[in-house]
Amino acid sequence: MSHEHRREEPTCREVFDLLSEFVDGELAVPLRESLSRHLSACPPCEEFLKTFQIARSIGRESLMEEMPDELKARLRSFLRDQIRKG
Amino acid sequence: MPAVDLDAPLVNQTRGGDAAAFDELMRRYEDKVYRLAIGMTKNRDDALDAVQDTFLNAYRKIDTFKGESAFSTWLYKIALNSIYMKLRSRTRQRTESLEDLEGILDPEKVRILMPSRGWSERADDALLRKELAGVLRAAVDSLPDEYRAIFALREVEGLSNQEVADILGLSLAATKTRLHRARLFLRQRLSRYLQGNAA
Repeated sequence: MSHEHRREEPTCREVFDLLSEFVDGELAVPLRESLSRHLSACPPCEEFLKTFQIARSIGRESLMEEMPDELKARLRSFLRDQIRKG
Repeated sequence: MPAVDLDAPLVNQTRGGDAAAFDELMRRYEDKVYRLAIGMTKNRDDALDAVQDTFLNAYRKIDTFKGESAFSTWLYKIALNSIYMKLRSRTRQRTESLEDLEGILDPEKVRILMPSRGWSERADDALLRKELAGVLRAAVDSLPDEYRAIFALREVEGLSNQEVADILGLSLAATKTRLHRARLFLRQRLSRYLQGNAA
């Protein structure tokens, strides 16, 4: 990436690769802190993280669905019949 | 596996023939199993069939559950088997190729260098967010089965990466890589949609 960072800091490519582990809180503290520093200093990576999180959040919402009551009733009726049959 | 499996007492009571205990287990998991099934099959009747098979098999095989994993992990494995059987029995819809998903790990291909400015602010709009949920639902639907299962179990049901790996019989590293690809893929689809609809 075009931004310059201190040699010991992660590159944009490394941030990209580690983004899931970063948002899942799975990185060791020193690495997590160095990624946080990078994100604060690098607007493109910071924007990428924001949009990554938005996609996760809306993707999650898009799959949120409860089983309709009518189907729950059919499930119970089915199981009762099957268990009775043995 | 958690130190204490909160479902263990109900599992033991079910083994002892207590139908009410199994009913309570169903109450705990029916929405979760249905959500996974509808997310994978995209069809209400197929989803109901898969949920019915899941709980019937769980009831019949409850004596084979040894408690080596959490009950939920065991149940999700049964559910995924039922769902995969359902998917195999019908004509497949086109999904993203694995090659394309592997390519998504190349940051150049997801425009890391030039994210469009203001993208994140636009996605906060409530009406637009509803529209975007449809876009992302279609994107999730186009993921290969295994990626879709990983995304649903991790992001929607909130299981840990290790639990997801155990359920799917994958290594932890493979699970994490596929989850990362799925997330990047969704972000890319959202980005394309927003850029295509930019005023």
